[in-house]
Amino acid sequence: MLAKLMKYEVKATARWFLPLYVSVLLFALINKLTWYGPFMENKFSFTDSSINNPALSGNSFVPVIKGIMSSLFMFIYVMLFVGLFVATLIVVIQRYYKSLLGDEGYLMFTLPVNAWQHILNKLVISALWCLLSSIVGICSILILIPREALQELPYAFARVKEFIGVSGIVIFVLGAVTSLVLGILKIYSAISLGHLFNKYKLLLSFVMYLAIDAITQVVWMLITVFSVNISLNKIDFASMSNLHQVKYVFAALTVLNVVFSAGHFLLTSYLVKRRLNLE
Amino acid sequence: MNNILECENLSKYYGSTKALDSVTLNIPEGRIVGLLGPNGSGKTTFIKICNDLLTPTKGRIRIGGFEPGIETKKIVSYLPEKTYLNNWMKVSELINFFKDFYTDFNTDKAYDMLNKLKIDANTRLKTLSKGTKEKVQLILVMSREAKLYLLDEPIGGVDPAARDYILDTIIKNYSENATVIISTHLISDIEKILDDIIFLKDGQVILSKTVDEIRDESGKSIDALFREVFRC
Repeated sequence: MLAKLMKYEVKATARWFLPLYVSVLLFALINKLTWYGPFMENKFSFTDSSINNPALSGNSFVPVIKGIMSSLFMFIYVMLFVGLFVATLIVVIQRYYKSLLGDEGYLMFTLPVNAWQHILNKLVISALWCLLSSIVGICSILILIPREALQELPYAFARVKEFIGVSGIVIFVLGAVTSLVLGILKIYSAISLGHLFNKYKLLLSFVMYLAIDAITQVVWMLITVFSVNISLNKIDFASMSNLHQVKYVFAALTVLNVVFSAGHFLLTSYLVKRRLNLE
Repeated sequence: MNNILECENLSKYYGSTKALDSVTLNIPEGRIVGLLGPNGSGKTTFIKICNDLLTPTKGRIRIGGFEPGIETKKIVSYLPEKTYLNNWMKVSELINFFKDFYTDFNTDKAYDMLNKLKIDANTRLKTLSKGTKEKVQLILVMSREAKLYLLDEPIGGVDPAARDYILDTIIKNYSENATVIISTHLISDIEKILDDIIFLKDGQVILSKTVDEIRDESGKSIDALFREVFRC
């Protein structure tokens, strides 16, 4: 059943993301071509020699138009790039809010599926789109940067690997992924809590999010203080290298993320199953 | 005769408001039941509890022997008063959706009804009128071969001509031994198809009889009786 839910969730969301991804990559490519490509042999500038070149004065508006076009393309690319992340966040929120707690909830919650499966479905697919959006964003930057810089990349990666090691990479990736999962689940908890009220559900969902965030940070701080006290006795934190300290903190963050995520998942499942009253 | 639905002292409170107050009912298989009452009498609350969309405050309820949950959702076909269909799917995609999740869904039946109502399965829901969407929703619900159909205001939003078609669809398409519970306040329209009636008032059952019993005892139509019982 979970697989079937995921199939429909991907269908429902892909129609937003795929066109967006294609346009981001397309405009990255267009920008690349207008800068370095055959369409513009010289890099454009308003002091371009062709403007002052009497032999070409008849065509002096051409570089100006080219310049306007390339600025426009850059502007569109930047907007799309920002839009990519804004849209991802909006879709994460909207898919939970609308398709489970809105009118569509009448359909979803009368399917022979458990409440937790609905939440897991939304979570997994949302997290995948977030990762994919990040990958597409990075790829678009890779398209844009000059070839010389691109050639440096493998070397840079090798240096990073050498410095933090494979274990470091694994720890950082785990920390990032669990932070993402926790981030999404915090949104779900907040919206579910906001839905317990009869009025101003969206506004109260936002207030709930701020409250959850504040509580999370306080708990995080308390744990940090306590664990530093404990670990100072058992582990010699000070004698670690800086890198080891960072790895240690990231590992702790990952564990906390998992614990907090489990808490939010249970809370959301309970609220949706027991306390939800669809309008 | 087996009961498809049994409930005992079923109650739902919202703070001090009693939306449903100690409802005890036994509904047998193979009946068409009218759940009748004015607005705010608890009809929708009752149906939502049956569908596991609300958790009762007190009491117990069993559908086909199970508490509302996954097992009951497999055998209950529910038509809410809301339009719950998303706008971006095509009618044919919705049919696949239902087929994927409900093993009792009969695809041929669904296409047959769509043809009769001249609804093109390739249109997106977005382009359909509100009335047509309601018809699609009813077709999907009635194409399941369920044990219990829970229809909340199935004729509320459509014109009188379509009402007859819808009632006809309901009678013709519910499977044998299945029970249909129709909640409505448009009594005269559905009176002729009902076997049993339940009157709800302020969250309580004030009358639960067969239509024959009512005719024999009072000689009145359900509509007339309703107007008498719920006189303002």
